Amino acid sequence: MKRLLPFLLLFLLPFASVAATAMESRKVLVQAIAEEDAAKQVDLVKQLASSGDPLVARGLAAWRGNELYLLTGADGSKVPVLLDAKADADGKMKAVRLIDGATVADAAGAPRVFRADELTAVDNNSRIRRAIKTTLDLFAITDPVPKLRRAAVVKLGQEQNAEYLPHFIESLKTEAVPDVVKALREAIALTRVSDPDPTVRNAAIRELGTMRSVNSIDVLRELEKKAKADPAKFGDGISAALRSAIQDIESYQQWGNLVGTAFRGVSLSAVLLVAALGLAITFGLMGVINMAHGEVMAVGAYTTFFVQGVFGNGLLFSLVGRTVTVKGMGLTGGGFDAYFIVALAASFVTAGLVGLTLERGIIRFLYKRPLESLLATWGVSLILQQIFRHTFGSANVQVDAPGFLQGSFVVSDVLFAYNRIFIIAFAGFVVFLTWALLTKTSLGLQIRAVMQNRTMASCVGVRTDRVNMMTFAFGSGLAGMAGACMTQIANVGPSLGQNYIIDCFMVVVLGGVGNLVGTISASGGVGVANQVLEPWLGAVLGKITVLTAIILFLQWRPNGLFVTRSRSLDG
Amino acid sequence: MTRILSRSETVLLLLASAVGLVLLPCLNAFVPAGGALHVSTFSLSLYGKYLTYAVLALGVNLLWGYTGLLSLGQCLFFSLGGYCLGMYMMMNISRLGQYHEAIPDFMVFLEFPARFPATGGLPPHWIPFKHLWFAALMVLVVPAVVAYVFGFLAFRSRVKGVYFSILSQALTYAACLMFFRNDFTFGGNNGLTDFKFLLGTPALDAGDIRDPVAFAARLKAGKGELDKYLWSQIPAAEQARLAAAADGRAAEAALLDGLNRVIATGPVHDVARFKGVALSDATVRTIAQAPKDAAMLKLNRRLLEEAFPDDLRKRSFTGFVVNDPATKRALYIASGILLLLTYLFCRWLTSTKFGLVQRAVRDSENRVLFSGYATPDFKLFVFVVAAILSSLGGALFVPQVGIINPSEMGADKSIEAVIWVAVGGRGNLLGPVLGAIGINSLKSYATHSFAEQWPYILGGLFIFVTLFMPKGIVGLPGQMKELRAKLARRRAGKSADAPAAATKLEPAGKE
Amino acid sequence: MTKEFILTVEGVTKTFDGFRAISDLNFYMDVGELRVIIGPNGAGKTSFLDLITGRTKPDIGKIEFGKDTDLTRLNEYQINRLGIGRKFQTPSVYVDHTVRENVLLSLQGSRSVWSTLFSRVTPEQDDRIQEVLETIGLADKASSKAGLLAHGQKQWLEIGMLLAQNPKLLLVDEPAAGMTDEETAKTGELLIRLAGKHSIVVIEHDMVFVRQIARKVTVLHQGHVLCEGSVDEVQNDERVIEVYLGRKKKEKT
Repeated sequence: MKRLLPFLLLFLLPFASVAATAMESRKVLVQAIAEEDAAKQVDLVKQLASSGDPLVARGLAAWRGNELYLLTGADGSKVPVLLDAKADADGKMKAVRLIDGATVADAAGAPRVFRADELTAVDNNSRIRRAIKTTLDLFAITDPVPKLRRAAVVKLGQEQNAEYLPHFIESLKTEAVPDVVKALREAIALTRVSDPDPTVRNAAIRELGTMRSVNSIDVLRELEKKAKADPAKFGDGISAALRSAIQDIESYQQWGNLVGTAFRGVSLSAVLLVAALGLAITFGLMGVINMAHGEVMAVGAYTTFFVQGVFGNGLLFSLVGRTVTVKGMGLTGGGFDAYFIVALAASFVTAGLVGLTLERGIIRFLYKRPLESLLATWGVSLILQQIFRHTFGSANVQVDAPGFLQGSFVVSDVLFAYNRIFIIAFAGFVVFLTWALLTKTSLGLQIRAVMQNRTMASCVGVRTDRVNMMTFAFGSGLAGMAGACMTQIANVGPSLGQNYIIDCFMVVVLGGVGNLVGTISASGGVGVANQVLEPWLGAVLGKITVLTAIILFLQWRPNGLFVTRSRSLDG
Repeated sequence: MTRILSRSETVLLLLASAVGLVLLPCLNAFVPAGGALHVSTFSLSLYGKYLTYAVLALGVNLLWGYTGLLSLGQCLFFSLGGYCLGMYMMMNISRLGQYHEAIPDFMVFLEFPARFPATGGLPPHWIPFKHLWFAALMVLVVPAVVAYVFGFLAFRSRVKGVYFSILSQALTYAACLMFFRNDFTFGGNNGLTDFKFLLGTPALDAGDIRDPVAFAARLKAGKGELDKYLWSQIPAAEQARLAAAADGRAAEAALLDGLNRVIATGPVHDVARFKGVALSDATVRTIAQAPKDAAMLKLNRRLLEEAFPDDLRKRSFTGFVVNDPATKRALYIASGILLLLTYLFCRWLTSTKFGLVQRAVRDSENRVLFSGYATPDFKLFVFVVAAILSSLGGALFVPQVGIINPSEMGADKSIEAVIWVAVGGRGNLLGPVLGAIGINSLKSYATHSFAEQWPYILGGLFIFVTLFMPKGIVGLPGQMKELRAKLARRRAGKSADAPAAATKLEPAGKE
Repeated sequence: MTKEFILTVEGVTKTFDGFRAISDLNFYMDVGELRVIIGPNGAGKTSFLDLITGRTKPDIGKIEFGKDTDLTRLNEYQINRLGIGRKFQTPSVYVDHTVRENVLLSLQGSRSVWSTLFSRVTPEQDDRIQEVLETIGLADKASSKAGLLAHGQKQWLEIGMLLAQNPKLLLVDEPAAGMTDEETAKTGELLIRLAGKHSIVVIEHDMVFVRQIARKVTVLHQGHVLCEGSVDEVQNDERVIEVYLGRKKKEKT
């Protein structure tokens, strides 16, 4: 039944002017409402498809929902009106005339109010309701926002409804945005695939193939199945056309998958890199693995949450059992979005301070005992986690993405999310920062000296104590910024750090000690491997495979990818 | 080297054994519950848990304290032992679980019959675990193999220091992830639980029914009240299978399923039903206690045996009920004995030349290497031995706490075990035992009274002990002595040229 | 028939991150010889010992022990078991073990895990330990911890540990470092006594000591053998004076 109707209507569709001005289309609507003949009514409603007038859209929606009313005018004529959404105390509402959007007023010019049950609703029936739905659907393809327009076209194309075809063709004539043009052409071809004429059909199939239309692959596959089952019905040529089109699309899809996987792999690598870089630096310099590194990241993440609250609507947290209220600045839009930039810097500072305290308070006593520093820092991580829980609660906190990191762009059907791109760029920035610090500053020179030979460095006057402190603070600051980035892709909660820490350790173990290139390669390897293996083996098995691979890799290169050699006996 | 145990150590061990292995169980068994000296079964079981933890701690200590290998994955082996014994206990429930199926409940719940149709839902590697001897063997073999493979790879490539720690942590993390998966066939995140019996089961087994066909016919005929009742309790499916049974074996299988269902479902006893049956005194006494759960199932079995002495073979032993106070006591004592044996083993091991090499590896591995010892072999040996010890501890841990799940092998648990050793004092045998028992007592108390603050206490402990007590509790007297000597020196120096030296507890390890 | 060497090093090169520590090194040593190797800092002396004892592997070249045992294919403990003992520059003894235990661990005999578990110290071994302890003059310190010994005593203990192994080839890295003159002289006497029974390579800076013990001296420079000969020959070699002795003398003034 549903399939038949569009065909029926196709014949009824007049080739009358489709582009009516708003005024004209309102007139058409009023005319349709007044029309007695149901078939003509449907006809008129269909004419409205390209009107684009919001009032018409409202009117149609109201008609379909039995909320369009007829008001008998002084002259006895019937005027279709809409009732305002806001009702007064008596449940009475103002009425808006459909023809001009004016509020119905009495002689004195004061608005008249009505109750819904006092008025008669305009009749409708299933045919009209269906026609209205089609018309409203088509409304969307003339939406002024290209993104919404494109989404509507894609959706309607999937329906393969021949009724929409003229509208698609009409829109294509005037459309300027390439994305929407492509979607329109795709929708036209897709609709034509169900055309009864084999020549039109096969041409459409071939076009979908050349367009690499990923959206139509399911339809084509389904059709191929049907064509195989009943070759007589579909005629010659169709299977060849289908085969080649499906192959084209599939190979394109594979390529797209590859690019998508690579992109996700690189973005995960970037996250790991930012997270592990600080760890690698402190480990390389001091031989100390900071088990609280993950929690230092969480400090950065919570700092971001805090800054967001200050910029936005404020926040509540508890400090040593007392509830503290921070009043927000209540910014919106660009002002609010700026919070993230501030938060990045703030995260660096807070996490750096935490690192500084950690180094001064605990780690500096344990340089000669790396195994015990592992335990002490684990203790720190337990304490920090509990502090997070007590301060911000055990549940995850909500960090909103700033506007400029929301959404994504699509190239050849591959989705590139802005937040992931940002993290990749940010990783690059951090690597540059680290590289510059190590090679271009005097602190960097001292750091490298201490890394290579601590005793010698202190003999030639390097204040190793101070270098340790600064390096640890810097490494922790990097971790804090990593945490700030994490807020954009992961949940912010007390166990944020725990989720990434093992991966970070693996990166450091794999990359070798205190080596920028090693850390970059290792995080690249671990990140991409995780993403490549995940679809095959699932997340857990993928992770286990990566861990196993690392252990096996160390058989071949016990000291990681890149080794900084030392000449000491027990190095 | 002629005398492995010193005199004072012997006295200490005898004293500890007297209190731990004799006095406490006696106070539990013979002092009535209200008595001032009574030790409740709950407490005893808790102590039993601590004792298994102490065994784990001795394993950690063998690695860290004596060989310098800080393994952050020792709980993996502890859990593996626990899983092996847990599998045995799961199999031992037999048809007496919630679902009355031949496979453990969680397998029914996770729809294993569809995955392993050939074995009725039982994954093939589970089958041999119905034998205690096999499970016990696996408690030794599985961790040994895992430790061997990991240790071989790690030590061969000379992974050491923090690298080894991190990799061992990754190992246990990976294993933990695996065990969390339902399709890894070990119960997913719920793990193995609801254990009922040890060393035997009251479920009827093949051969327990003398003549299944005749017995089935008798029940079906339903002459007596009891026959009628039993037949009515046998599910229709089994009744149909009995009717369709082609031979004695098919009939036996169907009847076994049916009767085990009866044993599993409810209290069989009813005064009216058992009117004409001569019950033994022991059974009458048990009925009077109105046992529940697993104990009730045991009673059900005995009632059937006594009601049908001609049809059912009498079995004198139908397993221990896991939650029974006597079983708990026995498990406690077993844990104590295990700890004692582990202690003696470690004492022996560290007193041999092997012990010398072991400590030499800890202090200067390269020197040992250049003295012709294959240090990887030595480390591997210790790693495997420690894994087996930990596994034994785990095997006794599980029946006492009644559950084993993957969180037990989490990285945090392993590192906690390390802190017991650190607190007690590593590199000797008393410290780890003291540490394990002490910290866990504190933990039980703290998580009961101020759970919110426990992470602070534990975290603080990690920091405090590593900074200020590098030798742990056992090393405190020595540390005090050193401190006093230092103070004395300072005072002497002060009177000479009076420098205003503040006397504070120096963080250890500062250069 | 070529002459049988205890140690044959031919065409060995070893590079660390682009730095050529050893470059095309050739070195031959007779059985029972006492050879002293000298050379300025960074000449590759310690790297040379590392190569022989398996601590590092050469990039190219041949290192053979005795007739045809290829050392480049063996690792540290396998090489040690062949009878090559090494004393490190900084004394490395087991500080937490007693002096006696230090020697016991180094005694010649099986090194397997199993044997260390179940072997007992035999009276012969006890005698041997005593003998070694007397040789190095630490008999009265037998049960004190090695960590408590004076620096020179540690050096002696390490030499004692080498002796206990009864190695065919001894590699001794700067034995006199940190010793008093008297101790140094005693060490020299000991090494001379041992030569003949063992083949010995000594690396040393102290020229007085070198003159005391040396019969044949090899000078290394930039990972390469600069010259070989008696102490006098070497000291009068112009190249040596240029790269080493000359500089050394200047430094001393």
